[in-house]
Amino acid sequence: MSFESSTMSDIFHSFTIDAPIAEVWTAVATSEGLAAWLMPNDFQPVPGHKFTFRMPPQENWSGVTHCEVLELDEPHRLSFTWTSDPIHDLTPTVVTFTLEAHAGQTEFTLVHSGWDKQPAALLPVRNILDEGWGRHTVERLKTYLGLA
Amino acid sequence: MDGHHDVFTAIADPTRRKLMELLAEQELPVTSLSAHFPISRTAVSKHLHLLAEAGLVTERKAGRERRYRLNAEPLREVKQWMAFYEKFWDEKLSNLKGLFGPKH
Repeated sequence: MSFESSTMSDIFHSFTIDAPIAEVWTAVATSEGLAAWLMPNDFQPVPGHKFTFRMPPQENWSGVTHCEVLELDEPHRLSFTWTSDPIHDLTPTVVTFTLEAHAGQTEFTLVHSGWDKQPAALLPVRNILDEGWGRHTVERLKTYLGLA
Repeated sequence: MDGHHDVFTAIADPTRRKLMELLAEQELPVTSLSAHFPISRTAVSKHLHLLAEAGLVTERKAGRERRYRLNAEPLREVKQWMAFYEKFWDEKLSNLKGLFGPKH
């Protein structure tokens, strides 16, 4: 069975920074570093640490993002959950920074994922209107969505 | 998450899938929907209620009728957030590059 590629794929960015990996790690995995380019925050490089990023209130949103540190592997990888606003009631997405050293420079990658784990939102409506679906197919759908 | 279980239970049933197909193009009352099925109107109502609980259809009262429509809202909201974050990360990563000098 195939699904329409209109399902939500990750936000992905990757580029080279002309600085050693330790410097880039300081910029992306410390509270002061993150405040300089991302947002004011109370991040701490500790797995399980809950923290927030704050920006001025927007139209539909307080400007607060709630996060929890998932993975921390200095100086290579940092990931944390990301919930824009509790009242939006969406499943948290996940932000991952990956750093790779290459001859004094650093390849930096950002992935913002989890958009396809939102309840009901994943299902391309047209696909589920196929009359041929049976229980077996629903089980395969669950596996595809990582919910089985 | 409970919401996932509801949605899968909802779409696992062929009657409910047919109901969603009928509602995809237009809002319809229970009476019109029932005409498509050999089961009782009460049974059709139960299916619709389950779909509404799962967030897949919306219900509104129009006089003495209950009218139903497919709910695309959750999907739209996620797409809006994604579009917001595409722009957000473009800007923030520009800032990050800027920290390391003008050659970026």
